[in-house]
Amino acid sequence: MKKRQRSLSLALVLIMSLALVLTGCGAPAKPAASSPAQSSQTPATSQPTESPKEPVELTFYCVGDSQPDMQKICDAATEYLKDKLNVKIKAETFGWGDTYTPKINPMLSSGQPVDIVFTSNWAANYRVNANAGYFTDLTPYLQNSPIREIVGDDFLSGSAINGKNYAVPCNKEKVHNWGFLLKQDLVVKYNIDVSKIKKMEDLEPYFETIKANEPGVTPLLNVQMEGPFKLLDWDNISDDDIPGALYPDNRNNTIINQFEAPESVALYRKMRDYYNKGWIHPDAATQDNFSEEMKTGKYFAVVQSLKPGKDAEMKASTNIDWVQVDITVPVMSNRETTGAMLAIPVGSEHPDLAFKFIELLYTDKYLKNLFVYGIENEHYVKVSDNVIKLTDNTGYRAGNGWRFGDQFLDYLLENEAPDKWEQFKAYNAKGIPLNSLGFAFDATNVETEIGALKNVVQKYYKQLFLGTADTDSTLSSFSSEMKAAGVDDVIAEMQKQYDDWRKTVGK
Amino acid sequence: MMARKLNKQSKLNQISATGNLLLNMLFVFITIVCIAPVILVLAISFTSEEAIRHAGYSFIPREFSTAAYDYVLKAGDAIWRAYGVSIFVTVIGTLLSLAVICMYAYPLSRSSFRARGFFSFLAYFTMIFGGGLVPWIMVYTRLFKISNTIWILIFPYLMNAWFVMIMRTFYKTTVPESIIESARIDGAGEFRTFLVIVLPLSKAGLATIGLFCTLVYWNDWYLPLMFVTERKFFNIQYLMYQTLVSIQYLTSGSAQFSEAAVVLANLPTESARMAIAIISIGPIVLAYPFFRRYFIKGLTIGAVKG
Amino acid sequence: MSMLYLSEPKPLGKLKKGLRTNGAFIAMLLPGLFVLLINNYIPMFGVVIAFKRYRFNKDFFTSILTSEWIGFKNFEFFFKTPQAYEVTRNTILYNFVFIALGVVIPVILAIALNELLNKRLSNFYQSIMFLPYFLSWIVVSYLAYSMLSMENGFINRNIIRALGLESVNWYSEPKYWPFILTFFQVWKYTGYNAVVYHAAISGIDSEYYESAAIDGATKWQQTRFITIPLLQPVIIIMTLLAVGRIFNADFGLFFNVPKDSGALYSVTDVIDTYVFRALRNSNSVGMASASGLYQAVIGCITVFTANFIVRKIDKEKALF
Repeated sequence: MKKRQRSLSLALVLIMSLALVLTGCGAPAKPAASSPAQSSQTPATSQPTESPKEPVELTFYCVGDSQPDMQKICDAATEYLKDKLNVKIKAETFGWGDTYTPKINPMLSSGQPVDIVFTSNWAANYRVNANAGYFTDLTPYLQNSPIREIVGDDFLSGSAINGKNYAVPCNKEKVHNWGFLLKQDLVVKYNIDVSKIKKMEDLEPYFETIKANEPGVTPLLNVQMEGPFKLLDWDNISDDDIPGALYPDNRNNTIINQFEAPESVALYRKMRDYYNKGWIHPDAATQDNFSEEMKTGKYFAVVQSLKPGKDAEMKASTNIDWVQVDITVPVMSNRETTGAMLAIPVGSEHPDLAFKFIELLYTDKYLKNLFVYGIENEHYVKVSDNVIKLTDNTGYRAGNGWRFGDQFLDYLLENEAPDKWEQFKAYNAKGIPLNSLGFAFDATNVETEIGALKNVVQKYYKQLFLGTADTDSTLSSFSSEMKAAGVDDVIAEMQKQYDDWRKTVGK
Repeated sequence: MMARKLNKQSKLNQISATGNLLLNMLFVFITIVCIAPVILVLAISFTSEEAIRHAGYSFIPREFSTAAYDYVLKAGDAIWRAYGVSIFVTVIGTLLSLAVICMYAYPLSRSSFRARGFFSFLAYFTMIFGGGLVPWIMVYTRLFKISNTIWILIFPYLMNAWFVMIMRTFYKTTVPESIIESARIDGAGEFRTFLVIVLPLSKAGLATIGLFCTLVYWNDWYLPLMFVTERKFFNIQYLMYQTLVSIQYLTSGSAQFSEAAVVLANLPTESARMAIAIISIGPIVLAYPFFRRYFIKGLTIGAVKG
Repeated sequence: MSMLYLSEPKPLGKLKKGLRTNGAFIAMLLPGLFVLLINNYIPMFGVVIAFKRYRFNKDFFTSILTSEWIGFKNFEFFFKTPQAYEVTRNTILYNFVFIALGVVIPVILAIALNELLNKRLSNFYQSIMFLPYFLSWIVVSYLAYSMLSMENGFINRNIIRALGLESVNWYSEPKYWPFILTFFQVWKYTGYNAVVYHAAISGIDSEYYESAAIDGATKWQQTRFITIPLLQPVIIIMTLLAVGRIFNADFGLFFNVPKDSGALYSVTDVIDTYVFRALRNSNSVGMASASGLYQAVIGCITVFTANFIVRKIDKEKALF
């Protein structure tokens, strides 16, 4: 009996100690554990008598692949911001697209105390969530902020909803076009002359060759919405999974349902054909991580939104060499103004500090590069003042500097063109502004229809975009369900608002 | 004498040898169906990536390899941490919920407690009607703020009306009212009676509910899905859920991994996923024999007669 | 309520004793009540969201109170979509099939287990059959995927292609899924149910069978006239309880096993997964709450009906 009691108490002790480890976050760091470098800097190794104000914790959630060393980055940021903001940074990334959105949405609707979130027209539904009142109005903050000048009034007003900014657009390229990234080793191996490729069909012979000669390589990566459908470049009025779009060439001002347009239907048929030929991965229907698939190196062609030097930029996050092939014409659309933004959820308990942190991502070169490339001499080394080389340490390979802040602050990678930012400016000047640029749809009147439509689109788009099911039968049930969910009302509402807007701005 | 007679009679009532053989064949088939998918996953976890690429998943590894387990062990930190979270949550959660459930069920089993109908209803009503997902999330994030702590993985499952009902029936059938009555005459208080007399008589019931609770906590992925964003509170099931989407979750927070240059293309992604599934099954299967002795008895009295 | 009883006129000593006893009982109930309050009763205020245009505002109660009333608009749109019908149909049909198979197969197996000559083998079979019950739906989804994957799946690679047939894209073909889902549900729960029924059968007095055997009754007759009638109350109660929860689908099964493949929604989407997706993907809190409330209300009605019937059959077995 005694013995059993002792072993029971031993078990309890073990469990309690496990609890301490697990909940250890709350415990203050032991002085002995602080790094020697730090203690040598501050002469007073004994604990300071005047206790500094407890740092406020700022949470920052962004889209992106999970990075093993995220905690190190947070610690470095916290250390760096100690005197500036006295905040403790808690950053985390969730996978692209579908993994990010479902994680963030319930946080927003339940008002969790999150301070900064990434939002856009393709992840975490900027317009829907802003209209639903989940984001803090940042207009007053932006009034006297340096961000105003950095981003430019055109971008700020382009992303405003009824004149109010609920998120800060990132400063990056202001136009976009679509095209392919091709895996460089295969381009070399099969002697592909990329200058001759003007449309997707030009790649078909290569798809065939690759399918035949490269076991284990799928010719075309097509996951969720990331695939050739993007090449149609619909000028979407709302989010990507909401019907309602204009043609991307200013041909008219009639809003149509892009999912049923003849161009889309033709593409669905083509995808079905590709799928049957084995050019699209057989498990495409259940794949849900575009970026990770891309990194496996088992795909030849990947559809991407392009800009100068995209191929070199993607080396940082994928560790694969790419060759870029432009397909569509560069245009300037609402996709850019709301393409990557940071918002402060209304649940945030420290909106002022959160905004200051966002501001630093636009103005502080160290902080910005910390979140993009990691820690100097650990994840990268400097080659020259503004050019870096990634080390073998893959603990932090976030890259994708366009997701937050001012991308023009980013260091350049060794393989990137030294005049990258000049090229960006030239590229920006080249883009055709679309008619709808600056129009922001207010979904309040058709909120429920939009919710229902999103569910319908989620149900059907994969079969069509990826070609995993018969086109005609899928399309007919897709159409009838969209109709039942009120697609006509939504498009009519969009058209009405769009016409009114055109009148006021005189377009 | 009596026993021999009975024995003879039951022999008389036995099925024929052929019938027995047929039934055994049926059960062999069923056990194969039950265990085959698990064996398949086990086999995949020991197959090399090359062999998977060439021959797909199969029951016999064409090329035996422990690369998946090597990888999982090396990528360890995230997995062992999740394992630790799961073990902690399961042990503490099971103990606490056993306490809560047993204490709630006991008064409901006592006919001298007049308000038992009301309190039974209070518990059962939650089985039928709920406020929905959003308010439920909001309560834990804005009101009773335990989201993103270890307690969010424990608290919501502490009460379970169904288990309360099983336990109540168990007390009713195995603890005679007369024993409780005599304890009362001896001057024992209700708490004392409960602890000293009722609980020791209810071992089988405790084991049954204990096993159920263990399963609930060990197999849970829903709470982390809803409430946890910090990796240090991921449990093993949720890590598996994440791994389906991104194998890189395994390496998150791993010291060894950031030092070695690992390209995703070279990882045993297919077999590693299956290896984690196998690792996650381990403890719960091992726990079963421990509970088995009491389990069937508890189940019979609590659920069937209930 | 207990206070109400206490105030009844009673001799003083008895009242004191009653207070002490009930006090102890209430103390025992307290931890459970606390959990119920936080986890279940406070969130119930949230049902009004279904009638509001939900806007987050400061905290839980304020948000609920300050959101604008829009009447039945949320319901209107839920019912307007064909999915309302589809998910309700799926939920009910699957549950009916699961209930039926959850009785028939386990009872047959339990009777068979009971007849096996070798009790050790019987124990062994039970242990193995019980295994699936221990696995989480996440693990089951891994198992299903290893069977069904298009690229590497066992069935496609080693059965269908070996036979020279065309691979089946399981995760895009809705027609197979009613069977796949049913298979995995039965696979996971049959062993558990068989053990429960087997335990019930072993509780039947063996004298019944012996005297029947002496009278020359065959095995079939024994089963038909002894086992089944004696199991009947258990079966009826278990079934009615399950019928009462017919609007609640097993979320883990329907969410994890089909891997959230849109192509399959027409046959795999149930109310629970629909609500969940409405919330997570489109953040339409109104719709999610409306469909959730719809489920809760009709679920509530069926439970009360089922309970009413149980009460008629056997008052002791009723839930409340």
